[in-house]
Amino acid sequence: MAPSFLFGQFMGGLTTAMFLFLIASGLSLVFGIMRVINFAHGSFYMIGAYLAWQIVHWVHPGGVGFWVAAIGAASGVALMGAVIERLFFRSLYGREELYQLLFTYALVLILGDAAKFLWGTQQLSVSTPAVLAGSVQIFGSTQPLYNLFIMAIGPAIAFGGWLVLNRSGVGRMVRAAQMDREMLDSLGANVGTIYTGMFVFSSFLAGLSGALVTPIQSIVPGMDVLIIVQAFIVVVIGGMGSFWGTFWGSVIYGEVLSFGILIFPGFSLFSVFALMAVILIVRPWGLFGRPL
Amino acid sequence: MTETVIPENVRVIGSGHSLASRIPWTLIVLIFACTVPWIGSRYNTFLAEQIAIDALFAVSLNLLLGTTGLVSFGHVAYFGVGAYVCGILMKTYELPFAVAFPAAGLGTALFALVSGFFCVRLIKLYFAMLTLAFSQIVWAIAYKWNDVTGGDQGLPEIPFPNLDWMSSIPGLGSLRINDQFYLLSIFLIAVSLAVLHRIVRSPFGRVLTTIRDNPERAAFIGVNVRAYQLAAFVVAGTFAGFAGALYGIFSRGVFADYVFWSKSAEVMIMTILGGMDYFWGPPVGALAIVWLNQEVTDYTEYWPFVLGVILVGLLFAFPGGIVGALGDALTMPPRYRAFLFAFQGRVSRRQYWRKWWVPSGVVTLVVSVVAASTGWFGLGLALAYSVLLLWAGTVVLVKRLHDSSQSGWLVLAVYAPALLIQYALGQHNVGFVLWLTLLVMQIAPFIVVGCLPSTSGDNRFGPASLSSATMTA
Repeated sequence: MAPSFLFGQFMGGLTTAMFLFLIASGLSLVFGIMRVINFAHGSFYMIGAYLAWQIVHWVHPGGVGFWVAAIGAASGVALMGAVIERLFFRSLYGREELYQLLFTYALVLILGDAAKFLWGTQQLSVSTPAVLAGSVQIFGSTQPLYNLFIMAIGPAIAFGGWLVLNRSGVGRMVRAAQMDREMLDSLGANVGTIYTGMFVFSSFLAGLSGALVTPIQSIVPGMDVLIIVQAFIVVVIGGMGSFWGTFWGSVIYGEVLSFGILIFPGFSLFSVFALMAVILIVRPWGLFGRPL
Repeated sequence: MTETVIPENVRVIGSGHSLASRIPWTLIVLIFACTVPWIGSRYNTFLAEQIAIDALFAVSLNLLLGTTGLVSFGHVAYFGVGAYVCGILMKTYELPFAVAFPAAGLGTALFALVSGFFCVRLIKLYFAMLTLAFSQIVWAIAYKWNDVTGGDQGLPEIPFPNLDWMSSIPGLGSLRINDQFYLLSIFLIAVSLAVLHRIVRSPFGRVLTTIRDNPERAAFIGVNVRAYQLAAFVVAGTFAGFAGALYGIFSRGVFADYVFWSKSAEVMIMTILGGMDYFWGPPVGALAIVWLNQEVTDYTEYWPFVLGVILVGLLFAFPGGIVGALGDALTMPPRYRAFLFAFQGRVSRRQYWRKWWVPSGVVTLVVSVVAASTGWFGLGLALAYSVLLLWAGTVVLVKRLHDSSQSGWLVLAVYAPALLIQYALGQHNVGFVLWLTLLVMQIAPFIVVGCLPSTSGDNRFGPASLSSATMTA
């Protein structure tokens, strides 16, 4: 196999990885703080994609339209997240995790159908913004500029998130909420607001990743349940609640999938699920996470 | 043991000597189920078989969920393994059902033993995640291993078992093969449910409930918690496998879709909708879901949406499920009776929305669907229900007014616009925009009353509601 081919394969894996990272980081954040697997995270991502299409449709395609759409879609999804957290999620925190899981699943059902109702079942697509439409040659393999852009965004968000969590007052509060909610509450911090804030931020990330994926993937119903499983695997591998864990989890997932296809064609899906099971068995809290 | 001992913390509907508890319900249901091919249409038989299979599947899940307290999010894996083993043996190897069916149970049990061995080592959420991972592994294999499972094409046209022996029984000879297979399924499912019932009520089952309620204490009194959990896991998996084996033949094929993770959520919804604290809850849930699905899809293609709304209502208003809610209704505790039927006292904002609007909305939705689909009986039901709803609604509204120190008579001001508008609409035909405006005008007073602030502390109608004081924490 030619080195350029292997490099292309590697870059392909990395692109998948960085996309997944955008989505999975929000999932991981919510889990880390609230101990809830948010199945609806994939639905937020899908709504983000549809909203982006809608805004591009309203504004003019091309030009700054795409960037307006990305930010608009992410904000819209963040707003939706705020409403859902305040109205419903809040009263489930004390309940068994079964109820929380099922509530997020109910959201999957409702949002999935709502998207079908509003945007139909046809495939929709958004064209790549003009600035990033070209491609470059690296080591003999062609890389679209847009993919490189995503590859830059991923680590930037990971680093930014890490910086905020570990080097700021807000981050300190969040980490405290992660460790001991009741203690923080009795110390006078407004834990409810922290929770809402985290949920909103996570929804924002989901919406943003949904918007950013539109130039390279068509928007279809069902993209929500497909992505959530992948994001879930990433988070399990890397460790729930850990930013860098999620980052490396995505890289591992992307590369295993990318090279798994070369080694066992047809069984690359199996290999990522098996990897997830093995990690859960050996180190349930993931490669970079901490035990609950 | 001559009499089943029921611990105090286990709630039993109609326990004691009420009339309802003396009727042999299970026998009646069983006899009714057996007569469906004669008294119902082909489609009824089809639905009945679907319900029966889902009931077994949901009861097997409930052995983990309700009895042992293990949240398995991948139970469909065992259903799928059972379906594939039975299907492959019968279609590819042309083995008889009498071999394939037990083999499906055995194969599923082995798989459950291996996967369960790892799963029960993990606590709570990690357990749920690993079961999900295993079910996705099964899905990935089913989806991609073309030579054995048929891959994304699945295994179509699984043969019916040879039921010639049944044709020689008087009265059964004239039935179609589908109906004969239905009777066989009912028999196998009834036996399976009886066995599961026995298991739940056995000392073994009691240990499982102990583990659910307090694993540490169970371990402390010498119970090997993991071994018991594993045993429950294997039993639950095996019966899910039996359900899957029957389902493969019933639906004339096994497909990878059967094993996708969202199916695990569906059976979980059935279990919780029925009521996971009761043995017969999950079958009621299966009945409700299959029937509702059939009713709703007549009107709209957005069945998942309806299911999602039902699920939200269930989680927030009726966590005990249908059987739990029925039990509460039959033995309505005095506090509910007072809440719905006594004008004295106060109702906080939170109670008004959560304890009145959400539950009554869900109940009204269900009653409307039932009423709309059952003719004269439905009309009577709708009338009786409307009277009840109006009465209880007024009671709650009055108490909400009390809560913000208003006179209860203001309720007339709430109803007046609605009555006037209804009268006016009876006289004229209006355009959509005006109609919408009028609708909002009708509803607005109810929302305004719902949002009135509670008077802090006691007022002339009674002490501040306990929940409004403590719930803010």
